[in-house]
Parts: sequence; structure tokens; C-alpha cells
Amino acid sequence: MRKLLADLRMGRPVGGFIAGGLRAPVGVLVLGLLVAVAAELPAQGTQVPEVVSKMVSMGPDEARLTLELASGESMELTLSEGTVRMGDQVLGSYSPGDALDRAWRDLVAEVLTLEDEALLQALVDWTPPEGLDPEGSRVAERMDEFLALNFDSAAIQALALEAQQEAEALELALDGIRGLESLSILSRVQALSGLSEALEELGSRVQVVVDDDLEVDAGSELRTSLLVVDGTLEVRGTVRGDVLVVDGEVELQPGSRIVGTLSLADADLDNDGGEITGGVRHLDSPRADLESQIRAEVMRELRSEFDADRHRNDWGWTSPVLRVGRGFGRIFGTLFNVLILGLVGAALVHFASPNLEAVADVARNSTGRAAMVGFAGGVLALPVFILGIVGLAVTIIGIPAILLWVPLFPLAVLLAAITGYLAVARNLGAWLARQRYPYTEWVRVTNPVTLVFGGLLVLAAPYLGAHLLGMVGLLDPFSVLLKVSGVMFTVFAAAVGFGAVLLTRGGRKPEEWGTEMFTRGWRERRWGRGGDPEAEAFDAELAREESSTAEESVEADDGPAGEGESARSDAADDRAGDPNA
Amino acid sequence: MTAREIRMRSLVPGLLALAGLLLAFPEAGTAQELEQVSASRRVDDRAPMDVRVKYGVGRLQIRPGDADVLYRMDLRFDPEHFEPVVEYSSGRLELGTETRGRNLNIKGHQDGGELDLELSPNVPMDLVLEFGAVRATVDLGGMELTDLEISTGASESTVDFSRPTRGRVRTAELHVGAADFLAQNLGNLRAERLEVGAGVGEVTLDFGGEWTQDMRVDVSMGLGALELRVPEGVGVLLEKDTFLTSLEAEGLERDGSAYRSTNWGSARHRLTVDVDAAFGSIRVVRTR
Repeated sequence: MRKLLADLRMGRPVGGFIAGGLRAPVGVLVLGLLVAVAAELPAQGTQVPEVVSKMVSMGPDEARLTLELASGESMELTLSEGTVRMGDQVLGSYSPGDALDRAWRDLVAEVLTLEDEALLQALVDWTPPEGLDPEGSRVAERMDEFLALNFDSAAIQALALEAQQEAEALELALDGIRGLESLSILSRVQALSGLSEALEELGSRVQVVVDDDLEVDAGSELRTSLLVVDGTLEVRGTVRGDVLVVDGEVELQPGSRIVGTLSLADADLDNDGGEITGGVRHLDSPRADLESQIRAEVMRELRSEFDADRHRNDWGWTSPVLRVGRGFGRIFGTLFNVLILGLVGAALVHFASPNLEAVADVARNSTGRAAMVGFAGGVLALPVFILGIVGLAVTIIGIPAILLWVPLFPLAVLLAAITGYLAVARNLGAWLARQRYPYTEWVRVTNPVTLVFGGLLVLAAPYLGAHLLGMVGLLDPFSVLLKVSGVMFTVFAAAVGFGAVLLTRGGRKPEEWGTEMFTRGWRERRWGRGGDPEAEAFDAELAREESSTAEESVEADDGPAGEGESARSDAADDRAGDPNA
Repeated sequence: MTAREIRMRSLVPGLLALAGLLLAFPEAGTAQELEQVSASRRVDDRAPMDVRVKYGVGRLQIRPGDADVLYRMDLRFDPEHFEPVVEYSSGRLELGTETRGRNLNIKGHQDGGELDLELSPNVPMDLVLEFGAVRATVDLGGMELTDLEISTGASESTVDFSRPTRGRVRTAELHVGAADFLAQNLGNLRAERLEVGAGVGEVTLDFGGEWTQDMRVDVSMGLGALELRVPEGVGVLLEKDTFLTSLEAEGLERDGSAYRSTNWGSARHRLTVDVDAAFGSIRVVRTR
């Protein structure tokens, strides 16, 4: 804190929260706007802050102090996970647990118990701890500055005084140029930012020429920066410094030199062979600069998008291997799903065959009704789940049952959906067996496991087709169509299956209501008595298997006898040929 | 608000707390590293404020503090599961904690977190307190309340009006989930009407304090025990619409479908209680 005050007394610039706005480069002389800002500062700065709200957050990795002032400003200083922050600005780093961390935590803990002047005094009295490394010391000093510049009334008064003096100096300097009505550029806000930068760059030694012309003769050398307002600068010799011309003209004669940057604000340049070492900068069209920057930025974005798009397309067209590889991957994925579901189906066939058959029967013979029930059940599952919880919660006996209800209800719905889906797959498998397509001989009506696998493959066929078509880039639309139809197919199958499970109470209770209408009676009306295609296929398959079994049996009876005879004759031959025999 | 709505609203915090319990998974043995947040704010002006305090799990204490300090809060919390809430804008103040994520071991946190809050008695407040699974001790004595709403989940809560509140309370509502709830010195609450909704648990309403006006209380209970402690000097009229609910009314005489204290006609202040309950018990105790 003492160092800070010494800096202020010596007039050295002070980095920190407020001081940044108090630097007064010579260029600011010209800008009435900046003068006004500077002149306003003392009035604000003399007010000692009034803390209306404080918040302290302390954790193993963080110690944060947030203060809100009566002016509405909020100030936050945080040491968190090795980083010191002032608001969003990073001040530096610290080591958790080091002297800085401990000192800060002590202060924050103290602040908790204090109010008003005592609180401010504690913040101002805080000094960086001893024994910090260079980085720690630098950060601690900045924290100290932050606290002083915001809460120390002495520092604030000193700053205010300095600002007051600067404002007075600015006023004096302005007197010389106040009458210039032609200085319309100063009212152009767009140009102000560029101008102020250019003015700051002129440095501390600057010669100002307003509403007049200036000549730098041949062979002479001007060792200062120049600000020419509403006048003509004619250079034959050398100017060692930056030049800013506002609303005027610059004429560079052959052999002339400007050792610095020439900035032009609403000014013209007539260069007949002069040299400008720092280049020429036009400040009078900041909007055009901005537009060109934006245009360039947009072009760059578009180009990068285009490049990325082209890159993606390149992969699509020029790398069929990638597409094919991806397609095969998806096909294997689908087949793996079929395998997993098929194994579940096999388990169901093994352990709960009657249930599966009952569900499959209703799914086959009451498809529409099962679908409606399935869709309704799917929609109502969530409300039923929630109502179940509410219903159980209002009774003492029910509350423990919620513990069972919450996990078991979704599980039961999932099991029902899978069982139903497999039952539908089993029906599709039976259909597939009846079609006698090539390579589907392994799907046999007499073997429910093959029916399930066959049906699952039928259900997966649209996806497999989509993946195959997806390997060819041109056929992407067809691939998407197939996928959509596959999803619809799957949803419908799941709904039918789920509905069938609900209608048969999980296959435990063959459907009773409407049996005549929807199952047996309907089947007989449609197919005629004994005309159920699945039953017929089953009978035919069974007959085929029985006949093939009978044929194999006959062959088996014949085969070993012949071989026996042959073996016996071979043995006789061996014995005949064997001298020992 | 109908009795059914009140009952359903009372059930909601309980169900939420229950759902939280169901989602909980054991974290036995994991030490909690608590963080601390302390915050305070001076009173800007005495304009009415909407104040909402929300606290999920732990111990909670609320009481009146310094007149010129709007709030002073000391919060200890587990940063893994909660985040502090300190929000102030003109006319509105929110304090407490919000839950991070869904998984929460309530049992493990009940003894860990703590919120100690002081509120200015000089600022008129529309006060909303929402507790989850907490042990709450709330003293609103001397506060200037314009409206009051207290919702508790699976908590043990004591709300005391140790001194008369200031100003007139337009609406006062207590929503109790699955909890033990004790409201003390309700006679100090300057409200003409009090609505109490309770889901499951024991609710005790103590009407001690300095009576300055008559009061009507509508109680809607799902399941549980309701005890009404009424000073002997206050006239009591109890009307009930109950199902399988026992009534033990000390010093009350039946008058048609209602029960009336013998001093109903002569009492300086009167308390009318309308109870809508199922599966529980009602007990009226006269206190000195």
C-alpha cells in the first residue's frame, strides 16, 4: 500500500482497477470527449465506497470475496484452484496452501465479522505476506493495489487530485483550439477511437499546428511528432516522429523523410518521392475498415465451411472403402442384435414356451386389436407408473411397496415388450418357413427357436438392406427410406407384441374375451375349418420330417449290415492271405 | 384453493423427498468436504420484498436479525451435491441451496449441511420457505410479513412466532409433506386465515401468543395425527369432514356436526377450525 501511494505521489502510472483510465497521453489534449471523462473522474473518485452487500465463499479449493457497492458496482477477488482472479480477469497464479493463500483466507474470514468502516479498514490494511516467490509477490501486489484503489480513501483522494491536475492542464491546452468550428472530425464518434490511438502513439513530445500550414525545409530535421489540424504539412527535409494530420493535407517532396508513421484523418497525401518509414495509416474511414474486416472474416468462415464440406464430400466419394467398412460394421451390429434377441427368444422357448405360444397366437389372430392395445399400453405406461407411486404413497402400507414398484414396473414393461416382440418374430418366422425361399430351409415350423431367429431376421431385413444400400453413395435416399420403413415395422411389431402380452396377461391366460370373434372363429371363417396355414405347414413339416426320419431309419438298417458283410469278407481275405493264419 | 388441492400440494414435497430417497445410492464412508458461504446485505429501503428460502437437506435455522441488515446467511454445504443460491434484485431475494444432479444420499447429508439465516424484521416480506429433508427451527417472531408460505418435505420442523408479527398477513399457508411439524404461538401470527395442508405425519398447531383478532384455520390432512393446542381463553369451533379419523376434543361440546367450546359465546377471540382428514386422529388440547 505504501508503495502504491508513493507511486501516486511521484506521478507514476499505476496499474489497476481505476488507474488504467487515468493515463493522460498528450494526444488526449485534442479530444474533448476524453477531457470530459477525465474531468469527471475526480468527482467520482472522491467518494469513499459504501459496501452494501458482501459474500464470502470458502472451500478447500477456493476463497472468494464479493462486495457490492452502493454505486451498484460489484467487485470480486478470488483465489481458486491455483489462479487469482479479479472479476473475470486473471491476475496470476498461487500455490494452494502457500502464504498468499493463507493470508487471503485470513482476510476473508476477518471480513465476515466486520461491517462498514471496519470492513474497509481491514481490506486496506491487508499487506502481501513475506516470503513469496516472484510470481506470488507480483500477484499479491496487484491484489493489494486492487484493494487500495477501491477501498483506501487516501489513495482515492490522491488519484482524484492527480486527475484534477490533469484535467486543468487539459483545459488550458484546449483553450487554443476551442474556437475551431472546422474541427468537425472531432464529433465523429467513429473516428474517435482511431484518433485517440493515433494521438497516444505520438508520444510525449508533440508539436501541434492548428489552422495553419507547416513547412519542414530541405536539409532541416524536426525531432518531434507532429499534429496538424486543418492545415497543410509540406515536408522537404526530415521529420523524426509520428505525424497525424486531421482535416488537412500532406505534401512530401522528393528526398523528404518521415521517420515514423503518417496517420491521416480526413486528410490527403501528395507524395512526390518522399519516404515514410512507418507507413501510412488512414483513420478517416474506420467503418470501411470494419466492413472490410467483417467481409474478410465472413469470407474466411465461408471458405473454411466450404473446405470442410468438400473434405466431408471427398471422404464420401473418394473413399468407398470407408463407406463399405462402415456399412459392414452396421450390418454386423444389426446381426449382433438379432443374435442377442434370438438367444433371449431361445431361452423363452425353452423356459416359457406355452406363454410365448399364447402370446404369438393372439398376435397372429388378433393383430389389429393387439396393436391397438399395445399402442394404448405404451402411451399409458408412464401415467400408470406415476399414478402407482402416488397411489402407494398415500397409504402407510403402500409406501414400502413403492420401493418395489419403482424398479419392477419398468422392468415388467420392458420384459413384456421383448416377449411380445419375440412372439411376433416367431410368427414371422413361421410365415418365412411357409414361403420356402432359398436358404431358409433351416427355418422349420417344428423348431420354434429357428422360427424366432428367422422372424428376427425378417424384422431386421429393412435395416440390413438400408446398410447395404448405404455403402453406395448414390443410393442414400433409398437407404433412408428403408430405415424409416424398418423403424415403422419395428414399432408396429413391438406394439402388436406388447398388446398381445397384455391381452394374455403375459401368456398365462389365453385370450378369452372375443375369442370366437378374433381367434378361432375368425380363423375358421377366414381359412375354413382346419385351414390354418400355420397348422397346415406344421403338419406338412412334421410329415416330411417323419418320412425323412423313416427313410434314414431304413438306410441305417441296411447300411451297417452291408458294411458288416464287407468287413467280414475283408477279414476272410486277410486271413486267406496271411500265412500265419 | 380447495382442500383437495391443498392436500395434493402437501403431498408433492413428500413425494419429491421420497423420490430423492429412491434415487439415493449409498455413499457410506465418503467424507464430505463442506464449503462455507457467508453473505449479508444492508437494507436499501423498506420497500416490500419477495423472499424465498429454499433448502434441501441438512439443518436450518431462521430467525429475525438486525433491523438494518436485510439478511445475514451462513451456509455450510457439500459442493458435490449442492450449490449455494444468493440472488438479489430489486424487490426479490432468493437464498439457500439448489441440488446438483439427481443422486443424493439424504441420510448422509442430514448432519452435514447447515443454513443459518437472519432476516430483517423491519422489511415487509412475502416470505416463502421451502424445505426438503431438513431439521428446521424457524422463528418468525416480530417479523413484518405480508404473506407467508412454508412447505416442508420429509422434515422435522418447528416454526415459532415467538413475538407478534407486524403488519397484517394476507395469506398464510403451511404445507407439510411427510413430516413432524410444530407451529408454535400461532396466536402471534397476525393472519385472519391460516391454511394447513399435511400429507403424512404429525402436525401440532399451538395457538398460544397474544391474540388480537379472530382466526380461521382450514386443515386438510392425508394421513396422520393433528393436535390443536388452544389457550383456554380462546373460543373454539371445530368443524370436520373426516373419514376413519378419531377425535379427542377436550372441553368441546358437540353441536350438530360441529364441536364448540363452552366459552364460544363469551370469548374475546375465537378460533374456527375446519378439518378435512382421512385415516388419522384429531386431538384438541386446551392450554393455560
